[in-house]
Amino acid sequence: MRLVFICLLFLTTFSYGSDIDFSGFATLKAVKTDSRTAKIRESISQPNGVTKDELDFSFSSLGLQAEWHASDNLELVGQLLLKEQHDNQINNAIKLAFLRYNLNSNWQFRAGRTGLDLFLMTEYRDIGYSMDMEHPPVEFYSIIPHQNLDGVDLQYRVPLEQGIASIKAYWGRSEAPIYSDIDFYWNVELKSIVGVVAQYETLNWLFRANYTTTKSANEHEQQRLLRDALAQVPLQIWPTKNELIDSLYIIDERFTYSALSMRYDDSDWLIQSEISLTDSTSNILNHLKAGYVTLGKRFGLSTVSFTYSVAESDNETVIESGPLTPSPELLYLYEEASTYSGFYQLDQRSTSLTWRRELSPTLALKLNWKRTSTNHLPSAFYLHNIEQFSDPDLSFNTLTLSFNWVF
Amino acid sequence: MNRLLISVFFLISYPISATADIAVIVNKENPIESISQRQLIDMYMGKYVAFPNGDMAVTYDYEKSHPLRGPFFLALTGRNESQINAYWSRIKFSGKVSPPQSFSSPSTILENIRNTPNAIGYVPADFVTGDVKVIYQIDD
Repeated sequence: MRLVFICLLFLTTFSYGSDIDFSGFATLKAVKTDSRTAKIRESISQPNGVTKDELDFSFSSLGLQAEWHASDNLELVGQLLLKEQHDNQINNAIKLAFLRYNLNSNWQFRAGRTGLDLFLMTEYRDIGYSMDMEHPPVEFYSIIPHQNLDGVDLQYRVPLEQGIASIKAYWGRSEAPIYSDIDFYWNVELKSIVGVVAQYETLNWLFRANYTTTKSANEHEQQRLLRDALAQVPLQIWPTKNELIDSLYIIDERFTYSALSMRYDDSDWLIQSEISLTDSTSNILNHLKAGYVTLGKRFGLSTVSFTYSVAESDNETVIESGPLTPSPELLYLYEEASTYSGFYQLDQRSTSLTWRRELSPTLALKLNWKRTSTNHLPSAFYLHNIEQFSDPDLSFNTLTLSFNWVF
Repeated sequence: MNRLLISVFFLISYPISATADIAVIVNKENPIESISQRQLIDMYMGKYVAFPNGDMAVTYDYEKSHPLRGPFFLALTGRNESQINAYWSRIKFSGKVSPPQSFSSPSTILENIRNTPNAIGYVPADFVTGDVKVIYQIDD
């Protein structure tokens, strides 16, 4: 993908100047929380979280985009997003690198690295200026770290009496990092991603349905080591160890994602909602349900919006029982295996209030207060102060102030 | 050079009023005689960039903060320029559709429409000349 991006950059740089469009977006963001246990972050791909008594600016980002209009039908698009990350920096920074070909006014084909069109806001969730919320709801958007698709998509659009109907199919692969406590890092690879999005849109209304299926292409090294260690334990000591070994094997497991979305925006009032179900053939992720609803009202250059979002999982019942004769080594193995099996125990809800103020037609200020209640910590949504696990604070507040700019 | 001088002359001498009538224009050879408000919205919001007969269109717009841009989108969609910019930042930075080509003045749009059969743009109504075709009018 780096090579494709460099080729696009080369083409855009050395083609005729009048056909190239350079643009960008930036977010300067400060985050503060009162949680003692959870280190706040907006995505499980974020390597660091904000701790109590700390004012953090690491959520800030800068995006640069170049578009080369090769002809009326063909365009090449490249986009870099610069933000804090630890590993594989260049590949992760390339958000878009694709060619777009309009066969006619109805059919569009794209190939290369595009946005993975799972959620209503997936493809622009890093562009703070584009949304009235301060950031997409964590309960809904943080669960799947993958934002890009390396592959192809084909879209058909048709004007109807009242609006535009479209259907898009996509195929490809994707990778994205997951960070967790104690320096846990896993570049999660998904293969054979196949999805379809149906959408109907008028000036004020948008309705959308998505179904996507994929398979896991890799596993974390620790998972393999755990399975190898479990394989050495006699069955008499740990009768359920084989079930546990099976549950730790994730390669080629199928994951499915289904979502319904709607938005109403008449320039005064805004209503937006999404619900989703994420499921898999692996015990690690079962029936993860998420949803949110946002209600907003515009007052001149200001917008006030309220969001309620929730995530619920059914994962706690599937962790296998431990060894019959517990020794420190076996208990350690059990705890580690349980941590993996329970990674997607995500049961929490939040309410948030956002005030957005247009400072100019290209610059907005946003202030957000959020109250989060979670059923348990640790949670994959956050990083943690590990010494606080014995007495976690399950409700906490987060305050965010950001400047969002497009240019 | 003459064209450049004419363009510069219009740019500095034409007082663009935020309340002037606006004419939506196409190339004289374009077979389209008129367009509905909804079709115009679909084109300028990147939802369906084609003329009513199905031919692909090239949309021309002004650079951000040009005084004609805000009144045009407000009259067309009921949305202010900030809302339009936020909308287009969703569409553009997600790589779905390219935004309209942007120009600095009505005279450059007029000149480009004269030379591009499938282009559509908007200029102040009293700026229209006989070598382009008006297909929609936004009255003050």
